[in-house]
Amino acid sequence: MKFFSRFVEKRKREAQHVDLVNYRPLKKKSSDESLSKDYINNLKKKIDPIETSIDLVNGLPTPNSSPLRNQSNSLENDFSQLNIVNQSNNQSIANVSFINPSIKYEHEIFQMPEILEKIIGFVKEMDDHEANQSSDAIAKLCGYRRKPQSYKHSLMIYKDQTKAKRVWDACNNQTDSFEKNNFEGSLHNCLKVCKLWYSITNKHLTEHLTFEKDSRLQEFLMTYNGTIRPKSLKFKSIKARCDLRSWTHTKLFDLSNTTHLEFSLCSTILPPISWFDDLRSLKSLIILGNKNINDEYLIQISSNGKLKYLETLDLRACDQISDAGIVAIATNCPNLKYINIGRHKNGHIITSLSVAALAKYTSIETLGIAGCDVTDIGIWELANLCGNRISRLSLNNCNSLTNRIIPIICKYGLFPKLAVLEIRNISQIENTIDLVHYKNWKKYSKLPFLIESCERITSLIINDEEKLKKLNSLTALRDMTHWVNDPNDENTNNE
Amino acid sequence: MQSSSIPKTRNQIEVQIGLVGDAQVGKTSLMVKYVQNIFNDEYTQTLGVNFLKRKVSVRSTDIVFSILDLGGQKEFINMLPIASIGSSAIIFLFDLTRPETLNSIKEWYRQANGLNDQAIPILVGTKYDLFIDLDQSTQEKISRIAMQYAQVMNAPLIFTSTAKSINVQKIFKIALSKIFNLTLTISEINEIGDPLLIYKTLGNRSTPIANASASSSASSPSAST
Repeated sequence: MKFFSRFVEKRKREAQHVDLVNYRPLKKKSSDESLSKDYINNLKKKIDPIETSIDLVNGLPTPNSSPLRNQSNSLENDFSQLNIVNQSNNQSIANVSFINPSIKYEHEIFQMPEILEKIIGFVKEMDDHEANQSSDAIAKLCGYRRKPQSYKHSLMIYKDQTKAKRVWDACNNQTDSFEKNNFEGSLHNCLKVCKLWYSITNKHLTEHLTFEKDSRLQEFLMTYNGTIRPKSLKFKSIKARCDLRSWTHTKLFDLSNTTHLEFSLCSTILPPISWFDDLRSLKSLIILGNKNINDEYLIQISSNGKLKYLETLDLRACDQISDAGIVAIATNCPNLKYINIGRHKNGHIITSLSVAALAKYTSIETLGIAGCDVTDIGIWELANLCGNRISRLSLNNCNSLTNRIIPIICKYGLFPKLAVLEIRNISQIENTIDLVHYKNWKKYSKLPFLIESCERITSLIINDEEKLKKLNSLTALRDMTHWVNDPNDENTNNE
Repeated sequence: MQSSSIPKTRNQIEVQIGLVGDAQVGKTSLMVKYVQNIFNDEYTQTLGVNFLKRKVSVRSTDIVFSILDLGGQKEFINMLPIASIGSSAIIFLFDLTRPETLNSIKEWYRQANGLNDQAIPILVGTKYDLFIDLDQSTQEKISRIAMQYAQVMNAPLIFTSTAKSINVQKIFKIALSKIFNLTLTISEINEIGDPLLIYKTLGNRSTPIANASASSSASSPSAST
C-alpha cells in the first residue's frame, strides 16, 4: 500500500495538463459510460477557469484542443513531479479511482495497459518476496542447508559456537511457532482501482493460483465466474472434499497452459485423472503426503504420453506408491529430471527396480529416495547408466545400503557432477575416508560439493578429515624439506 | 587407497613474503629475477607496491610464493602495512655498494617489526657483483656491520647478485625453511669477500611456538588432499 501511494499524484496543477481525450479508451470499456462522461464534463467546467488564468500568466494561451503540446508536456512534467503522497491525506489506494470526486485524476502512466502491467507485475513480485521472507531468513541462516539434528550436530557443521547456537535456536523456534503466514499482500487492493486495473491485476492473480484455506476455496468457487488459465495451480492443506472434476467441465479452468500443479498436504483430494487430458504442457507435478495416490493412478495419468514433458515429480510421503507406479512413470516421462519419492512408511515397496528404471528411461538429475529399500546394486546401476548426469542424491534412511556404497560413489568417479549427497542415518556406513578424499578432490577442483549427514556420520567424516589433514601436513613438510635442500634447483628457474 | 579415476589432489602451501628497503637497492629486480628469471639493468621506480606470484611444484605439494615489493621512496612508507601485515617473512634489502642503505635498515626494521613481529626477518645485501670491485677494507667493514645487524635483528644474512644469479634462489629457500622450521643442509658461507650466507643460528623461532605455528600454517592455508 505504502509503496503504491508514491505513484499517486493528486495535484491540481497536474489536472490542468491532462488531456481528457486520453481517458476515452478506458471509458469505452466501462459499462456506465454516461456516468463518467458526466463526471468528466463536470470536471472540465471546474478546470477551465484555472487553466486559462495560468496560461495568461505564462503568456501562452494555448487552447485546450492542442493535444500535442499538452501530451508531451504533461508526460515530462508529471514524471518529474512524482511524489510520495502526503501521508496525512490518508487516502487509501482503493479510493484513487475514477469515480471518487475527491481526486481529480490519476497519473497518465496508470492509463497505459503496458506500463500498468509492468507496475502490477512488480507489486506481485514484492508481495511474493515479502510472503517468503520469514522462511527465507532461516534458510539463509542455515546457509541453505538442512536443519541440524542437535546442537552438537550444529556445532560440527558450522564449527563456530555462536553460529551453531543461533542456527539451532532458530530451528527450534521455527518448529515451535510454526504458523501460517497471514500475509495478505497489496495486490488485491489493486483490483478495486478501476476496470483497467482490475483486468490486469486479475490476470496476474490468476496466473499463479494458490489455495491455502478451505473457506477461501469454497468462497472462490461460489463467486468466481469466467475462465481461468493458470500457469501454476497450488493447493496447500486443503481438507474439504470438492468436485474438482467439474472445474474443467464447466470451463472454470483451462489447464492447457498450466506447467505447475501442486497438491501439498491435501490428504483427501487429488487432481482428477480427467485433468491430465488437458494438462498437455505440465512440467512439474507435486503431490505431497497423499494417502490415496497409488500405482494405478500413476499408471493412468502417465499413459499415452500425457506426461511426456514432465520434468519435476515430487511424491514425497505418498507411501502407497510402489515400484509398479514408478516404473510406469519412468517409461512414460523421458524428460524427467527431478524425482523425489522419499518416505517414512512403506519403504520396502520401493526397491532398486525403481531406481534402475529411472536411470534407464528418464533424464534424471536429482533423485530423492530417502527411506526406500534401495540396495547397493540399485545405486551401482544408477552410477553405470546415468552417473554423469546426477547432481543430487538423497539416500537418507536407506538402511539396505552398506559400506560399499561409499566407494561406488567416490572411488571410481562415476558421479562427476554430484553436488549434494545426503546420507543421514544409514546405519551401515562405518568408513568415510574415501568420502573425505572425494570431498577434498571436489574442493581442489573448485567444484561445489556438500554432504548432508547425521550426527554419527558427520563425526566420522570430521575425524577422517582431521587425520587426512595431519597426514597431508606431514607430506607437505617433507616435500618442502626436499625442495629447500635440492641443490639442483639453483639457477634453473621456472619449473 | 585412491583409484585412478579421481586425480590425486595436491597440497597447496601459500607463503607471502614482503620486500622492503631503500630506493634503488634492487627489490623489484630481485623479485622479477626470482619469478621470471629476467634481469634488466635499467632502473624503474616502483610506484606503491608490486606483486608477483611464483608456484613451485615439488612431488605432491605446490608451494606458492606471493611476493610483495614496496617502493623504496619515503612517500610509500604508508603502504608498508600492505607489504608487512600477512607476510610470513620480510626481506630487508640494502645495497652493498652504498653503506647508507644499510644504515636505513634500522628504520625499516623498526617500522616493519612494529606492524608484524611474527614475520621472519631476512637481511639481504644486493649487488654483490659490484661489491667485489670495492677495496678490501671497505668490503670487510660493510660485511662486519651487516653481520652485526643480522645478529641484532636475529635475521639470516645473505649477499646476493641478481645480475649474476648468486644466492637468489637460496633467499627463498631459507625463508621457507625458517617459516616452517625445516631442516636445511645448505652449507653456510662465512668468509669475508665471499657471497655471505649465514642462517643456521639466526631467524629461528623460539622452539615451542615454532612447532605449533609450523604445523598449523602448513595445514591452514592449504587446500590439502
